Amino acid sequence: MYGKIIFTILFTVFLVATQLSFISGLPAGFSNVNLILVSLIFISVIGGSKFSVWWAIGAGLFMDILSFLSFGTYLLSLVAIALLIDFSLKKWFTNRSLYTFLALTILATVSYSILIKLSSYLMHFLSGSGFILILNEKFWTNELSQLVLNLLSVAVIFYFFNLLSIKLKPVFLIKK
Amino acid sequence: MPFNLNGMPKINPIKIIFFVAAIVLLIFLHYVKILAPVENMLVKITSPIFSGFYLASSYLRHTYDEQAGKINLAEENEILRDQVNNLINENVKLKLLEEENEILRDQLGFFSGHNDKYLISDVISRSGFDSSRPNQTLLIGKGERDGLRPGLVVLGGQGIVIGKIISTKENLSEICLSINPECKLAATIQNEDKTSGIAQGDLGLTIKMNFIPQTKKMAEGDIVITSGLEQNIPRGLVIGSVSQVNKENNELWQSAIIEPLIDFNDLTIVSVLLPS
Repeated sequence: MYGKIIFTILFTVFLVATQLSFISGLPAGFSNVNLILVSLIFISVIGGSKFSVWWAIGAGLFMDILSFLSFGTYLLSLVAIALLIDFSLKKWFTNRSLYTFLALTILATVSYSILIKLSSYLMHFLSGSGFILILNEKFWTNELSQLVLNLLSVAVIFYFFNLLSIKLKPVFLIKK
Repeated sequence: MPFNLNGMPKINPIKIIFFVAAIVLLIFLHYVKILAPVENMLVKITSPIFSGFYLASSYLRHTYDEQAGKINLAEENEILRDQVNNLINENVKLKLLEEENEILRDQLGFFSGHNDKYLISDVISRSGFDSSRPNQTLLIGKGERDGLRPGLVVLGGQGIVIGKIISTKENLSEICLSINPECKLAATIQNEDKTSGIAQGDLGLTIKMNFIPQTKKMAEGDIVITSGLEQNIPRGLVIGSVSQVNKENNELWQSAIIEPLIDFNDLTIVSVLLPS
């Protein structure tokens, strides 16, 4: 039990450090990958709703400590997305196929982007400082590249996970 | 899996209340500063990890840039290609060390001729968690505990202005680069007229100086420096050079595009000028 908690904390610190320092410095658009979101999708599907919400709280808290947005922005956004994924898994997606993962990635990436930008805009608006949101071609290209890279990451991790585990493989009941 | 009559998944209200209470409690504990020691300790412990990860990322970026450059070169020099590729990794490692050495020497060289106090810090992230604005902000692993506060000017190699601190935490600071539209610097063009104005980032690519009267003369290549009108930012720090002058006879004002004299992609170490 304690071993699992310590492993989860270390894994979360590693993921957040990778996202903050490693991925943000990568060249040629690779900095658009959102490893935290990708991990949250897998954790939600594999670990279940309770574990995913706790993980979202932990990761969000650590991100908020390291971020300059209002405290709670990442925490609330990640928890909201964990709940949204959980709801979608229960209501709409009955299987655990690649298509389910890809659909969840689209849902999570778009929701995350909207939530973070909205809270960022609100924070700047309330503090009276100017916030410049330029909805030009570069902005949309960036958003699209983030979505595409997240989808690619999820697909790669999905196939890699399938090589190591049978948890996401379809099960067929054969009548003998 | 439990569902209600409408086909909606059943929600356990106690569980929801428990999670909401945990989140509200965490946010509350942060704002009343009870979490502050834990937060500071966490940042302090993980800061070296961030620096290491950022250096590894910079190494990859350099390798990528080197490779991209070498591939073009290889097309022109096929005979040398194999030899060059074998030396790339070794070159990149040596160059990284050399660049880091040069940056430190530049900064030491610049500050040895000045009486200003400064603080050197490692960069730990570019743009933080917000990838939608790449190359517009930097995070450094020094903060209020080291005497940093918003408004202080940040310098790269040879004392060239790269931006300003916009927010600080106990052990962290956020820098907006001078090409960031949210970054404004009081500037003067070094020419006969000593034209002054506000240099503001333009689309995360260049710096723009607006609202310059038509009567003021300026030319491409003029050096732009800090005007000293801002608190804690002394006069005479180089911001960049004028690369384009936009002057229309029917307009009331003219503007200038300023090219930064430093490559923001190569920043791994920066200096913050402390108030004297």
